[in-house]
Amino acid sequence: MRALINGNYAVSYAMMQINPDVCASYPITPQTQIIETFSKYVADGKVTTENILAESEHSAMSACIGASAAGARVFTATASQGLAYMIEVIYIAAGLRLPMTMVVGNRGIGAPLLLHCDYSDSFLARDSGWIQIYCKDVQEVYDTTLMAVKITEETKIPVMVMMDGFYTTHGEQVIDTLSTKQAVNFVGKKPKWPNMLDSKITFGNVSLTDSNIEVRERQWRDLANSSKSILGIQKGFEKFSKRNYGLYESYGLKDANTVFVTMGSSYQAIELTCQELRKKGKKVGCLRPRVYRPFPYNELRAELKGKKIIVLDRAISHGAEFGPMGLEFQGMGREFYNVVYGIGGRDFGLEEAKDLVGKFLKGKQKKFQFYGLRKDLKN
Amino acid sequence: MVKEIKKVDLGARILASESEEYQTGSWRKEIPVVKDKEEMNKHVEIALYCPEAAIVYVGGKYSHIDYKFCKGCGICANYLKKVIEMKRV
Amino acid sequence: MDVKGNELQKIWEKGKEGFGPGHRTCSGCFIPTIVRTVLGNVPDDCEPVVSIATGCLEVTSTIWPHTSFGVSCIHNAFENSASTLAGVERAYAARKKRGELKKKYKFIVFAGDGGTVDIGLQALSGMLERGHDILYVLYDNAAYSNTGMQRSGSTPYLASTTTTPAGLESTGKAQKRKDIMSIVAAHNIPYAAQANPAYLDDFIYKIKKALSYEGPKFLSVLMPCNYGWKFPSSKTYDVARLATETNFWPLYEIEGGKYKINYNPKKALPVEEYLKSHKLYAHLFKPELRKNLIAKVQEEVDKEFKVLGKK
Repeated sequence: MRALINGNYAVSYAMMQINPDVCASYPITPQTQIIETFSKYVADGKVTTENILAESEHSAMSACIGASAAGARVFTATASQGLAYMIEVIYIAAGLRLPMTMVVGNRGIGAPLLLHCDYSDSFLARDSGWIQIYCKDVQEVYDTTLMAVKITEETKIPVMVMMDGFYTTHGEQVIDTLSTKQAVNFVGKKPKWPNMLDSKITFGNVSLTDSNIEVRERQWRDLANSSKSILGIQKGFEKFSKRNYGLYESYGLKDANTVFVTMGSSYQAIELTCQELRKKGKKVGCLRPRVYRPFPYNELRAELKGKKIIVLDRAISHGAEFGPMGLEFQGMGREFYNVVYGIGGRDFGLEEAKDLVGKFLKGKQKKFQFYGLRKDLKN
Repeated sequence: MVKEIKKVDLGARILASESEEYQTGSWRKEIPVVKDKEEMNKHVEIALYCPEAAIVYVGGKYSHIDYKFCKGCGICANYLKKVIEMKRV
Repeated sequence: MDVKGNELQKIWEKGKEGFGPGHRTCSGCFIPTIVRTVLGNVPDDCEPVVSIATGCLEVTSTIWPHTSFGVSCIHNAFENSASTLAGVERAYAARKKRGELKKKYKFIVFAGDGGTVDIGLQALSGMLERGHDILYVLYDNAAYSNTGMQRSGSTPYLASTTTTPAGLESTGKAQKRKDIMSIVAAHNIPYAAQANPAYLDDFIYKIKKALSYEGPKFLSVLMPCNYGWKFPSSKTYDVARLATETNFWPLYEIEGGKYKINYNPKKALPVEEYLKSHKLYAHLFKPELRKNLIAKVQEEVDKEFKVLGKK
């Protein structure tokens, strides 16, 4: 079915179609529409989900952990300050190996307080052990939300699905949705996992120096191996939707000598720019990691071998040599450059993409720079 | 040579049925000795006061003390003075 | 004892199955007594499902590869024991609606005063307001015992803890303790009560009554900590008795908003007897007897008991 829909409604609609057991949430810009529309579905009886309206994000994630530990299919959504507030419990959810899905409307973490898009919130959870998938547009958000439920229940690793705050959460696009029957068939019946209601089990106990590293190594190993499951499930989704997804997306890499790496909605601007330049004979390509954790370093290293790469970071790692994405990519390619852009929702559209790409094709640039700072504002 | 290979589950979770026993009897410096079994039968509540659940009652009547777990805290001897006596180990 | 031997045995057996020995609580700790008594009074047709906060109970009873809990138990973090179990309770409701479960459960939280009155207040308040069917049992040992007896919001006036020690310039905690029962009562829950494990009949009556209600219930239970309060491990029962006999820890219940004092001692002992019984207040007696401070405590205890009677 075709629909004109924004990212928030797409998530809510996908969840309505599969009717999860529990949803525990707390409102925060830019994700409020997800839980508002979902609450309306609950109020109208379109879903039979138990809707827990928690008193904080920390309690919302805690309730998700409790619900998943009791064998329920659970989802939530948050952003920015909320994600930062629940970070303690995010680590616990991954450590306890409980299936759950969380949608993040990327919004930067203050101070100074800001409402718009950058990736400082989801990068905070990089080391937590969650699977992280970044989406570029509303279609991908809808598809990935459905796939995430299957991924988390197969790997027993919680999954975070990211979309750009306001660009994707509020920007309406025409997408193809699965029918409810198809969505339910794809996601499938909830598998059985060890839970508190079906067996007498202790969760979250102490693991001292005699066993802690073994538990953590297993967690690390399982996350590293989960890319196999992710690829398999995405292949399964292709049968239902005719859309295919990989661990990353790229354009024109094969014979490119300059590659621009970015994530999220700005990839669309970069890709359009590269397509135009290709017509003029310039050998440019672009790439975006889709699955950020587990990071597909082997595949990306092979793809970027011998190329000049410019990595665009929509977040800052204060005190480090490069931005967070830059630090992951710095060993790759023949020549490496890092650009921080779009912080706090500073627009990065087609014009900015053309300007930046043009700069790098024309002449020598600094190894690390901030792009798009206002010349008329002294800081 | 590794004698026994144990398994630690995801997130170190433990099924109640697979919990390993941990004996706390080695903690004690004093050991309770029951002097009057008849009197013990009149105070079944002492079974709940023992933190280790070491004072065992069967059919409403005092049976024995489980010295595997008794930490020798002395709560029982203090509650029922003259009935239970703490002796130095 | 009003509760008869056979019933006490049943409670003890059921409690032991729910929380067995092998935990590393301090010798003479009443936390296992409290947990066992509560679990032992869960009706036969229901299975208890427990959530515990980080604290004395959690770190002593669930150390891999041992767990003292014979029932399902979840520990999440320090402050979210209430919200975690709220998720479990809603998951039960959802799964039951979809025909996945046949058994009945009782949802019980065990948390210390640290994880309830201070850091856990937000989660507790949210859980009470949303009306989950959960019994919240607070074991109050008047400080953060697990980390070595630092003061909490529930530490009484003038108590000497490691972060409010009595010294040359200080006479212990300068603030009165938080009245958690009033805070809980303000959420309009069906049942809340203050109990004492040394008054077992009253405690069992309150557990049974709480479990008979649907919705959020709250029990505030005194837990004299022999390690932190510094008294001999055998005297836990005596110290607990003194707390109530001096009206320092009155036994009362709030049922549907109505207050009722369960035990009004005919001749209440002077609070000095309770303060003498452990070292939290040792600075009021040595090197010199601080009569005026003890009198202040007595005045507060009397005033609060009077106010309670009028509620």
